[in-house]
Amino acid sequence: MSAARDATTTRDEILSRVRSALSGRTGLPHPGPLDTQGEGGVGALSSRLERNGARVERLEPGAAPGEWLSHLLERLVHEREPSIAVGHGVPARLIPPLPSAPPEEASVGISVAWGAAAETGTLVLPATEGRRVQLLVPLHVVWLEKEHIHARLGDALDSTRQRGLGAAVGLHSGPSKSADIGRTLVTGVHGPGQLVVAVL
Amino acid sequence: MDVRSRDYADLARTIIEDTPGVRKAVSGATAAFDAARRRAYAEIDAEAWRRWAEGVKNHVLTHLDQYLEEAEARLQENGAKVHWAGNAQEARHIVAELAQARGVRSVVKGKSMLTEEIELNPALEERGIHVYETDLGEYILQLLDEAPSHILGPAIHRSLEDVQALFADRLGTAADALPDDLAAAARTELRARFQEADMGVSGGNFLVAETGTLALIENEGNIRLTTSLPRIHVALVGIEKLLPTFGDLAGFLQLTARAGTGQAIGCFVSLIQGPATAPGDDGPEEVHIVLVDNGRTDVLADEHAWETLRCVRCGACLNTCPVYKQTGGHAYGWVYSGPIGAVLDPGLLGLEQTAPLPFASSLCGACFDACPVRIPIPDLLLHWRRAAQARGLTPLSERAGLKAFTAMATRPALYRYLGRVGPRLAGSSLFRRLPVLSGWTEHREPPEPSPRRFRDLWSEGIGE
Amino acid sequence: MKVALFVTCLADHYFAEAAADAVRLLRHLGCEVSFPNTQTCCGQPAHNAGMAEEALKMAEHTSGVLKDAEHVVVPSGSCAAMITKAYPALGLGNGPSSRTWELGAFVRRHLDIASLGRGLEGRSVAYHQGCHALRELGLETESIELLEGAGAHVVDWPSATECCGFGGLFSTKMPPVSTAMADAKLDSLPQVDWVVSGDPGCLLQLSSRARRTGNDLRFRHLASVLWEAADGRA
Ligand code: SF4
Repeated sequence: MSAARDATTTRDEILSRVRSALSGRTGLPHPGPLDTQGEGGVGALSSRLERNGARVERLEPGAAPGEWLSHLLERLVHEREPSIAVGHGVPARLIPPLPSAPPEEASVGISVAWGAAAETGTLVLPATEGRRVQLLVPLHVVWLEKEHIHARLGDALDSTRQRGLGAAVGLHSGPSKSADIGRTLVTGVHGPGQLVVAVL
Repeated sequence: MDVRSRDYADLARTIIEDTPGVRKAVSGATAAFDAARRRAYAEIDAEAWRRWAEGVKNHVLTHLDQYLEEAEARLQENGAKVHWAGNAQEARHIVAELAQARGVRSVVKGKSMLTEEIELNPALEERGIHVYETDLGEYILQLLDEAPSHILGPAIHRSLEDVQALFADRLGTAADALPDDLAAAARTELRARFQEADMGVSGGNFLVAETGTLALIENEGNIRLTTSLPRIHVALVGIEKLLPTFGDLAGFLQLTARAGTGQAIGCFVSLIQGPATAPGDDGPEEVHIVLVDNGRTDVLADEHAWETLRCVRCGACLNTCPVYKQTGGHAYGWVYSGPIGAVLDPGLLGLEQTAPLPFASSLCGACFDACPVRIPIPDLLLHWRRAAQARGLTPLSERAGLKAFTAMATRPALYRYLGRVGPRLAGSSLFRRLPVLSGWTEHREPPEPSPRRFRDLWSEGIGE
Repeated sequence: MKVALFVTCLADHYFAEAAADAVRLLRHLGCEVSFPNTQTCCGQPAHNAGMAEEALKMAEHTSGVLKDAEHVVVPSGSCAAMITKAYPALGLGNGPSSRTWELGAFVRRHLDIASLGRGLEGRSVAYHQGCHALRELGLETESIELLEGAGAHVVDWPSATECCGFGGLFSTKMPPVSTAMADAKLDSLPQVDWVVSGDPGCLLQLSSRARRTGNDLRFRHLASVLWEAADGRA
């Protein structure tokens, strides 16, 4: 028996076991959508993100985004010469004038979110910008346009789906953390230990 | 993992008596989780959310064949490969063969109870493949060669001191290193493993049929790394993990987090459709989804126990369980412990191997109130108890005792007569020797009977 | 109002005075109390052990005993839950279920009494809510309201709603776990005059464990404390 036939047989056996388990059982209806009744806006998003351990900064009116971020990073990164890794598709005006480095070595990763959900403090990050920039750096800066903030996670996901889910989407809602050692909270276990959301 | 559930009572006794640190660590950790869950439920209309989630899962389970086929078709369209495993051995075989055929030398893993259930790691190691657990708790346990004791916090039975000693020995950290330093040492060690791994192995929290989306929830980022860095990603997914539509995800992601840790959502969620093909995406070239039955269709066929398949493995029932708290998960003798383990393990493994588990409960009902998908765990405990009694899997003395009591208590005159003398024997040496009753007096004083029974007081006349 | 007392097997033998106090209290509140003499046990031990046939026999027996009762009052939340929740599940939907009350709930909700008197003035009390009263019958505040209404200070007990570890057969089948549960409750207990509960099983568990560990706390059944509240006796 070939491996391929084995595989189909197993598949069919499982499906037929499912069917016989369900035979005579009434199919129960889907209850429809859940209304999570989230609150929208930058304020709601910020307070949730801050509860999640992230930091939210709003671009000062009139400031050049790249320069502004550069100053912000001076305060946040305690390194003499911070280096940056930038996601594909981040517009030039959002990139601070700092030396670049591969995500494996950079001190800061810079992304642009597709959208956000205020009720959970969630940023939607497409894999096509490069996943390493979102994951390997100790500090992750995510640019977010105010207009892309949804109240509810469901709406943020729906609009992501319309744009195309692609191979993968990452939802980031706070810094990497764990309480696995002696119930003490530590950050930056594997992913970025700091998440900064820069609202445009 | 060898099944040792038959020894529940002995395992529990040993843990309580010989390793009091476990009870302390587990009680503390679960109390914190449970309090966070209560606060998180209070922020939402928890009752409505739980009923909704129960409804969605009931719908998917009663149409499971259709949704499995739909998920398979979508995943294939997305470029993922779908495998089917009828049992643990087939699942191990699929992953091990795949690894070998692709020349995989090392594997990084995200936390997955299903890979514990099917004992994947030894099967890979047997073929000379290195396997690295990357969840911090799982990593600690791998170094200790121990099984997880909790669905969400696999190492909650271990104290800071335990980890300090372990890491000092294995990673060369200071004997009094702080949690931050310990985590940093693990991060450095594991970062190198991530970069050299050819294959990442994960479980799956949900699999959305409509879009072929595998959803994974976590807080550390290790699962995102596991599913992004190595060139091959393999996910092991129980067939009960399906969700019908993409629109269902938002509710489940939130409710699962609120139930498990009290968070609004996990810090990281991966939504994976297939391998990376688009420009810019540095994700895996291959994505394999292994759909695992391993007893689940048997559970589905049980007209009561099928409800356990709604479980989203949030751990809320463990955190709120006063029985689980005293021992942690190892007493249950298998992968799934606590209230859900007590009703799921008999379904997956058979009652012969697990008969004591449904009795490892005071039937306090706290688990049902915590469960985000409203699994009627107390009713199911009774369901399995009835099955165990009917099949003679309990001590004969227990059954005989209850039969005798019933025979007496349905004969009021006899009951009245024996009731006059029975309780008075409680303090006597005879009482202490009866098998059922010695269980009482081993750790407690005998109960003190009233000098006169109520019915005697009644017949004499109760004055105000 | 006519009330039949279902005393329960445990209260009959171990809390006889408390059950008598329940009668005194109910009479004091204007009820005509009867005690159907052929009553024995509600069947919960067999039911919880998974002995389906025996549980059904007991439930049928008890349903028969209580068939003419207008209201049934039970000085045990657990046994009240057995009669109201498990009997219908066993197929005895027309039995006494809908007419059965746990004592505190009967006084507070059915008789709608907020204060029985001031007999508990100055007393500090820890109230243990039995799990079945709490989660199956949904009784959270009834007895506490009565205690407070009589002047008692019901203390904040972090583990007030946690299981004492009794669980009937569980207590003798898994003794180390069961007693560890009792210890967890007792360890978090603040300084009080009495530990009060409406459940004889929980009181036996907690008091027997406390005595073994050399703890001289005073445990009292709700019925006696409520009678004291109404009567003002010490
Ligand atoms: S049974 Fe319910 S509470 Fe327990 S782990 Fe499963 S989903 Fe969570």
